[in-house]
Amino acid sequence: MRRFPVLLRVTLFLGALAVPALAVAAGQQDPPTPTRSERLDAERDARAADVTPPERTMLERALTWYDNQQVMARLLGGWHGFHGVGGSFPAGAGTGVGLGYSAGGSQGPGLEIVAATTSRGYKRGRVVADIRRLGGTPVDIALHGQLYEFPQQDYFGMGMDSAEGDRTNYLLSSAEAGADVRWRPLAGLALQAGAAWVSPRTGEGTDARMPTTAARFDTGATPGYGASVDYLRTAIGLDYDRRDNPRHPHAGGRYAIGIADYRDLDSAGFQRADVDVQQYVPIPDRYRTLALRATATFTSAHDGSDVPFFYQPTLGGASMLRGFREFRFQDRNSVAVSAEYRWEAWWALDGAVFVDAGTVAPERRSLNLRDAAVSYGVGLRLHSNDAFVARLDFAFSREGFIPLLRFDHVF
Amino acid sequence: MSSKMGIASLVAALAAVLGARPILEAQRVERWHDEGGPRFYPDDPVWIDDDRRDIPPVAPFELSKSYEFVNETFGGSASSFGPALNVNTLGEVPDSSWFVNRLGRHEMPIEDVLRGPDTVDGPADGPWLVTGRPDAGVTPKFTIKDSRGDTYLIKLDPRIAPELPSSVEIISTKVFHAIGYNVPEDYLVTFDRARLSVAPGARMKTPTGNRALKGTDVDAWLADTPRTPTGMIRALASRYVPGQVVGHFRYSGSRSDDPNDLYPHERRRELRGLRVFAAWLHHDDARSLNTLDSYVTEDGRRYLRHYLQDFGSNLGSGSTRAQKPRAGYEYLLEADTIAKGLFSFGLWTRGWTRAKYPEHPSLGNVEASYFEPWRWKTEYPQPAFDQMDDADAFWAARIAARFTDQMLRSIVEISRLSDPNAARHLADVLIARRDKVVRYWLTRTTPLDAFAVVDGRDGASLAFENAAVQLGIASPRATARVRWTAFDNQTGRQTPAVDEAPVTDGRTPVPAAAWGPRDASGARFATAWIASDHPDYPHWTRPVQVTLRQSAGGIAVVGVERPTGGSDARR
Repeated sequence: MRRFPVLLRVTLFLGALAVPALAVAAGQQDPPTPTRSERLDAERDARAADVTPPERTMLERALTWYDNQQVMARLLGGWHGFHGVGGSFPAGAGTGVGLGYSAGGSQGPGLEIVAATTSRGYKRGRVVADIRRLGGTPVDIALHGQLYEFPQQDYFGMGMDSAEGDRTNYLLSSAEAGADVRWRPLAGLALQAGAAWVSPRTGEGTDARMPTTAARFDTGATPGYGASVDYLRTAIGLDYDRRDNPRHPHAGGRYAIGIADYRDLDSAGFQRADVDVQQYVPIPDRYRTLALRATATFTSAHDGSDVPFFYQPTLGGASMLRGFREFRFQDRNSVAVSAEYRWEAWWALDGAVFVDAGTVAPERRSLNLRDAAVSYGVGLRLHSNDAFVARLDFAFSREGFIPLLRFDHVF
Repeated sequence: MSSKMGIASLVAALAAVLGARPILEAQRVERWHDEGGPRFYPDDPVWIDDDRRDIPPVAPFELSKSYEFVNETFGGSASSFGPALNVNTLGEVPDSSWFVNRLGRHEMPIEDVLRGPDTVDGPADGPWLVTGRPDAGVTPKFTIKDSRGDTYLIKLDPRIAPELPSSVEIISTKVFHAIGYNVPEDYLVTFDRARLSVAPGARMKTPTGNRALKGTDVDAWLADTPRTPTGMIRALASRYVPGQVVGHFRYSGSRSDDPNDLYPHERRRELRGLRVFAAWLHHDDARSLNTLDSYVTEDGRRYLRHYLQDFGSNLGSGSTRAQKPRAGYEYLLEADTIAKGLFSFGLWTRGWTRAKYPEHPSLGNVEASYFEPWRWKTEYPQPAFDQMDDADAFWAARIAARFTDQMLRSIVEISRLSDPNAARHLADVLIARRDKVVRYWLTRTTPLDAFAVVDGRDGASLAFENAAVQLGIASPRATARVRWTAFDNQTGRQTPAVDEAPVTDGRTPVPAAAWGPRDASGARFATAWIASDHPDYPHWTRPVQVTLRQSAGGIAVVGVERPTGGSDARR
């Protein structure tokens, strides 16, 4: 009996020594199992010790500035009414830059002032003061005046037989002031009437690449050259616009006619009538369009007068007979047709193939499209969702190839 | 067993024996991949991702819309690739500051769906003080403060599309909220000009700077706004979200000044699966600029909450007009389609040009006949959408399927389209588009679902159903078969345990031989590999892995892994 308690005591003692060691060993083998939430918390703790402000790349900084400064809005919308303009110069005028000022909205009084010039010395200043939707009626009235000087206008001589090699240039300038009234009785229909004093002048061209008109042609046989005649121009016009979107048409048509009478102080002068018919045919939807156009211009002089050459219709250039130079053909009358097949290559880009034909003649009865000059080509039309932006045409004709970059629609 | 099934079983068993690397990426940060650790933790599946921990104030950080377009179109911002990381071990998205499980996990009465995020009844009675005009977005809009002091963004409908943006925004807000996203409170309001007055000191940003706001500005904004027959103006009033807005979230990367933002956004399932919902609702404008990060305070904790917003160009709306027909089918810039379009001279036409749309100004360009879920696109590439896999899509499609026809008709009804025929048509389109997204994306992967352990007289069984068959999408000719492997949670090793056997009535006993060794927590695991055979969906033979855990608490489903990327089927 006495030995057993001793043995028991030894055993308990050894056991007491072993328990902590076993406990330590057990703790080393089986640490508390972490939970997923604990691990995620630990990750977030570690991340909290290392937070840094978000950074932008150089490109991102640039585009953030671009967005915040509303660069496009400023370019397109201008600054306090001031905005950049191109000047609406004829093709061949060079690169135009100018400043415009606009005030007023779609209703009530408005004012537009434009001053622009080009790399080839063309200049234009224009002021238009108008009242839109006069008294809430569909009537607009406008007073307008402009001065322009185009020092390198091309002249090739009269008629379809004129030669490309006879290219000359002259200066055309004019001062004009007048008033117009426009009435829109129905959607798309506009009737317009106006009167203006116009004072055109011609002179020596400044383009050194070619002779002046006076050097090559008999100015006595070139009506109006060098003359100092002021005219009172009265005009009426009708414009019926049924295009689905005038800024980027795919369907519908536009039909316009204008008649103008130019009379000098001696009641001599001439009349000019312009007809422009456009039709847009979806094939069969808006993604492919056949755009057709026919234009005709007729002039007739009062007894003892002639039609100044710079007021005669011309063909060639950016909008008709694109494979020929601007003003390539001119005479008292003209007729021209154009067909353009457009297809949507991308939501912002259309492809186009086109053919133009046109002729000029001294008499209306002499106009015959069988004598017409023909040009053809391909082009690209850049546009936004609903508005034309720019076009690049590659036009061909018997006289060669002409690339055209324009910011106005051909039609 | 057919020879094909036999070969498939052999390959699967071989893979299991070799200890094929598990693809489960449940709630793991990327660097854990190198650290090992158990595949299942004791608290799995975790249903709350505690990313609402208190953080210090976060400085505003604006994103550039131009940069996002350029970056995503010409480069791409994604830097993390692989399956979704933020899901729990069941493949579900836990509640977080990004997403709260609602209709997908819980029953939602229609009234709750229709209430959406709303906590008030819209702007309070009384005059509205016009406080400014945001310069973002294209929808004509201005901000007001009501008599309660709450600020709302008033978004106007265009004259050419009356009721269109406001109705689609209401519909989208309700749907996105019911899904689980954070969205602003949007209300339809009608008001007249007399209710508006310019707040003292109010200023507005213009392209030329910043100037005092005038009453004539308000007149101008309202001039081209359609009127109701009683001369009132209908608009959407979007209540400012609580907290301080500190910018937008990107669909890739994470915000470096937010310690809670662990997962790269392109690896978040709710952002990847958003592609399914965006296709359904034609939310082609799902980009960073149409999100919000707000620094909020809740229960004494301050954190960033992430919102979707600006649904004014969803469904048939293009915000200021009808939606463009291209939208949803083609990115803004796609070199190959431009080249094809240019050099085909119009002989090649884009399929979407043949879609027919209702000729109704309040519906815009929305339809369901031509709509093809798999072709649908945002305006430009979206990094989270680009990484959506079949498992993400299944998750989303299953939630979309929870919207009943009645729910959708009721949602359209509260958008208050004045023409009942238009409302009916829109609801029909919404239902048809839902059916298409569900049919396509639910069947892209093996659609076995609703896994549960059921105790019976003969022990525990694993029950499941075929979601596609349940929804009537697939014919009931589907059969299922299962094999079991014992799973070692410490090593990740799968050991074949029980040979493949057919499953009848969607229930299979849990064999005693299937359990693997106990892990450190004392739990043991068994994995069922369940495949389905259906003549119309041959890719369903890819099995779903369902892992059970046996612990002191009993047997429970702890892991679900869906096969991804194995089907080109486009049905």
